[in-house]
Amino acid sequence: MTTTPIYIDATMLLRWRHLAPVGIVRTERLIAAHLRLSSSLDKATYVVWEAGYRPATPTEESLLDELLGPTSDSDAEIPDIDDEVTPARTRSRALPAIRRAAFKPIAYLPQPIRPYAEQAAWSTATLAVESARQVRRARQRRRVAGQSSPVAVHLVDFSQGADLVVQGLGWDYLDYEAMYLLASEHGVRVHLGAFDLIPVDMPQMNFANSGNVHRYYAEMAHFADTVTCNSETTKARLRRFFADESLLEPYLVANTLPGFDRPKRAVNERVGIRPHRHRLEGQEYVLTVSTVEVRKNHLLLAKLWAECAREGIQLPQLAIVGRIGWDVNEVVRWIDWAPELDTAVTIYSDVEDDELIAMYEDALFTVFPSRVEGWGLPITEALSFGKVCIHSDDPAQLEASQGLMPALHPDDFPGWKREVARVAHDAPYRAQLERRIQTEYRLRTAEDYCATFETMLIERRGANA
Amino acid sequence: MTGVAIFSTYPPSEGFGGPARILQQRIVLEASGYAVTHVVIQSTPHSGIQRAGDIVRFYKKSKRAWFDHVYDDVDLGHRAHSDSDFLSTLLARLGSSDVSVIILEQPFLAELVASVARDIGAAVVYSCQNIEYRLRRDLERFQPDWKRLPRRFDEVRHLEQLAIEISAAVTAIARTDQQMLVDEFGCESTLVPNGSSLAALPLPDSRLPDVDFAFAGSSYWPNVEGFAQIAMPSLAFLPPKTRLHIAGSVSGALLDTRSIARRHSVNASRMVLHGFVEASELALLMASARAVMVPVFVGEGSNLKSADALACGAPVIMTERATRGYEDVIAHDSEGVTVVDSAADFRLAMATAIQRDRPTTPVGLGRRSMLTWKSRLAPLPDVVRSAHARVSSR
Repeated sequence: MTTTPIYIDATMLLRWRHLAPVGIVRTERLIAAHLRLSSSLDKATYVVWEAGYRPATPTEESLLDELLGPTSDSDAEIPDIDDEVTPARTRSRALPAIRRAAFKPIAYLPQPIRPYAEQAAWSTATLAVESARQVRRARQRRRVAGQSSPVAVHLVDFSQGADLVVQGLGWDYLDYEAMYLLASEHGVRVHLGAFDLIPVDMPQMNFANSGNVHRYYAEMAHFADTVTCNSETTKARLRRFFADESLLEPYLVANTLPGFDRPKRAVNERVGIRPHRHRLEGQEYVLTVSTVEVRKNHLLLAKLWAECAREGIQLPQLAIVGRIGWDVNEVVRWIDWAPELDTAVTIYSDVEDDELIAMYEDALFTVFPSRVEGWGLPITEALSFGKVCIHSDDPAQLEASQGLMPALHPDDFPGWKREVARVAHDAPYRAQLERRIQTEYRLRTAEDYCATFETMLIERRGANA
Repeated sequence: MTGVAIFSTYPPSEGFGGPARILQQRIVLEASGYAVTHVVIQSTPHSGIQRAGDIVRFYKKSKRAWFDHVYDDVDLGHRAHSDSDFLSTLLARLGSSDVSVIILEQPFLAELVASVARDIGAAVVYSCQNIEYRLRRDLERFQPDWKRLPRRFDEVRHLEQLAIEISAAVTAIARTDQQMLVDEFGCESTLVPNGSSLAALPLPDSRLPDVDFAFAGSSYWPNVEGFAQIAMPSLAFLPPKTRLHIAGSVSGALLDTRSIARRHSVNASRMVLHGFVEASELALLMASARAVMVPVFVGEGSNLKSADALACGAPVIMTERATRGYEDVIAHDSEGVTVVDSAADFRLAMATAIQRDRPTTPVGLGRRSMLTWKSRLAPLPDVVRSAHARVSSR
């Protein structure tokens, strides 16, 4: 047992606690759940970013216990949330309430102008809540420092050589100057995650976020002790990025992501959630799992399913599981309006993990035509259930499938059509691919993933000592 | 008292570049006993520092000039030359001011000056600041436009040739320019280099705490391009606390530069944009810096930015190109001056500077005294005198 304090940045865990987690958040939860139960490290402390780091409040601790499973020493009873109003709680209630209030009168407006009014109301509500948040942050600074200051103020007494684990979506909130000071003046070892550099390389796919993500990767070189990359592909790309930007690279580790497996269920069982069946039970379907956004190339699938229907090629229905993201007007229009897709393609945006597990188990096979990925978690997930996944041929996806699955260029429409029809109709071929998964696929479990992370932490402590 | 007229397409001012130079020429010549009149032919509404006796003619910018920057200057010269009303007014005014020497800044007004000088019998001194046609051609790549005509550059060269032919004396601002004048036009010239207004100001008593680097310049393309090269792919090579203070109209132009805007999040976090600042404020900004930057990789002539940087009392990181015109100054006192050849070396020099402690005392005081306008323009009165004598003796 070491005696080095370890802190887990729970900011994004709390912000995302009501949402179906995307891949990054999913792995952040895994790491957080593991570190707080680890016997070889000190008990981890949750910290939350708000104008600097502060300790998680008891209510937030309880929410995290609910999310991740209780720690071994506290089978936490969740307190009555109304007894304590934390900043996170205030945020989560205020925004929906204000939005509801702003949206109410819109129902009385004529239909053609409603979308514009909704957009304006959404922006106004967000602006109002965000302004209130900024005011609160400024007050916090003044209260702590005794004067208005642009510098972040930490309410956590970080000791020299402490570990701070920030594995979430850091680009959304981190103050890099504060992080730089934390590392350079307090000697805190900051452990960050790297997921992909797509917004940097292909800003056309995610223009709004590209600047923030670029800055996240660029700034990390100044304060991160380690950066955990989700694939060898991401690690190699990050290494090139640092060289291009004339930056010294921190310690880089490729820790490839696990699929769904026993640990996830174990966590669920700890809090008494039982896996249940899914909404497509008894039906034959092809599954694709990812946020619906332009890069994921759902449009190819919509067009493919429509063309097959027109040509009389019977395909199982396509179940798209994922949040609705950005730049997807066209694909949504196809799915909503193309007569051939009426019942053939459906987007499910409200699927919880347990239902998704069941959907994976029952799917005929899966498809993942994403243009570019940092890893390609849906491929790993599909393979961990022994399901075939037809995916794109970009390097990270090939790494995720270990080269065992059919891989096609994301613009090769005829190729995709041929392959999807073949896997759907040619049962021996599909069975052959499934056997290949069983015999050749090296499944990486959540334990493997977390153990690699923990080993890296311990090694870095030794190296820095 | 001998009268001198300075012809230019911009008014005198304390700002950057040509306007500052003609203002200082006036001051130096008047200190030497000449009566100076500015003749300004312009298409922009800047008034600069004008006096009652100055002659200003404003021509509305032609539509073509909005996309053809070379055309604007050439067009101004043509319009002024063919404007008979203005010409007669000009002759009357200059005749009554007893002007016997004309200083022609840049070649664009050469036709007008040729007519005026002939009519009033004045000597012409061509104040060359670049081999203009080459510079304009080189700058074309910053804002290429097929609508511009290649012959525009030939027109500029023709005007330069004319300016040299009508002149009794030619001045250049850098030794490299002198050599180019010989190579291109077979013309000998006198070196009258640029100076710095900051050299005459006292060094600030205090320093600003958070200025790591300072960069001052106009929105002239080479300034923007030079900084953009340093900021490519981004300014992330500097630690997050680093602050680059940027003064002058280059500030706004940088925000519009695609390569800088592309990485706006990182770049904006390190840049503090000031826009135009007063000379005293600029002096404080520069003196407070760990290093003043002069990232100029293209263009001809001599930058006033370089003179200001060398005179401000802070270390300087500059390109080899930016040292032109100041070789003697740097040879005399190179304390704190880092000269680099490439953008990569420039970045490296900045990264090194940020690691070092801030200088606690001013550096380069030896060169500072050499950079006052008074000492840099010292040869000018002699050039004017000899030109005048040459015409008088005819």
